[in-house]
Amino acid sequence: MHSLASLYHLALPLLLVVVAVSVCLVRDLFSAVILMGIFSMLSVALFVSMQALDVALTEAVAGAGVATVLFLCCLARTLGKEAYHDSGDRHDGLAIMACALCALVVCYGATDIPDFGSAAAYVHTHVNPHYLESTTEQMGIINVVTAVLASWRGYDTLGELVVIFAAGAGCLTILGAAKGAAPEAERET
Amino acid sequence: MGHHVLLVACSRMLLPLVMLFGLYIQSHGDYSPGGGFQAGVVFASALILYGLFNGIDRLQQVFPQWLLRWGMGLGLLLYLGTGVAGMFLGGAFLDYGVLPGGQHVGILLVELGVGLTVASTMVTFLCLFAKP
Repeated sequence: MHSLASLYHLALPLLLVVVAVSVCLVRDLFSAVILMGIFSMLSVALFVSMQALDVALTEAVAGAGVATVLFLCCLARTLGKEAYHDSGDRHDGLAIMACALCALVVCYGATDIPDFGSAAAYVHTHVNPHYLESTTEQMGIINVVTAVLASWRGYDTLGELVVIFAAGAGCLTILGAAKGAAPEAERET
Repeated sequence: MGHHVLLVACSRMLLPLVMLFGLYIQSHGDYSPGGGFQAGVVFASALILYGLFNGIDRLQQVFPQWLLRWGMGLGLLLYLGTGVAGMFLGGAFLDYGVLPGGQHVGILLVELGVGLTVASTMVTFLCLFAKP
């Protein structure tokens, strides 16, 4: 049973890397969008295996569902194929070396990350014990994730909500105004 | 995509179930996984499903643009208003402890604001992106 679980935790991230690389390599944009959806669903499986159900729910609906639909909507207005410009001068070797260097730096940094589920990890020794102990008695609710998002870290969530609002307002200004302004411009001429 | 009879029928059958699930996540977020953001996206995904198969115009007959814009603004205002209400009742900004009903009511109101804004914004995105 233990070896099966560790195989799962090894195979899922590897699959994520494979899918991510194929998103970059594939030239057909429809395939790329669907692969992005697959990437999201694999992330969902990873989050569920780590018992982060709140995050998994968000990723399943927003990442695999809504984002895929929005990408497809955009795709319907474009050519569906990535334009390929061969500029002539190649820097492939340089680019690969830069990527490898970055990967090495990340790998070096990753050695400092505590083991998955380690009780000595910094996140489990800082403010988390306080949240876990006092949430239910102070707020009367069980889901600590909701308590952290809405109350302990209310400012962060407010900021996130403003970001979402700004994104919606921005899209309305750019895409919505163009449609609304068209009849007016016709009227003037 | 209106000519896919099977998909249209399935989307109509799924619509009430997904909407109900969204409301459940919204109201039950204190006790089970979920909360305002998840509920908003789930609720919006039901409307997006309907809009994709039955046409954006039919979706906008029920949820017109002005309603979605009001939803976006009102959600954010509800969040901010809950925070400011705490200030008027003698606490700090976003301090729910001084509200009538305490922390629990504050969290419910704030999550409702998040859900409203997120759902309205997501449906607005679809209406803007999918309209020919």
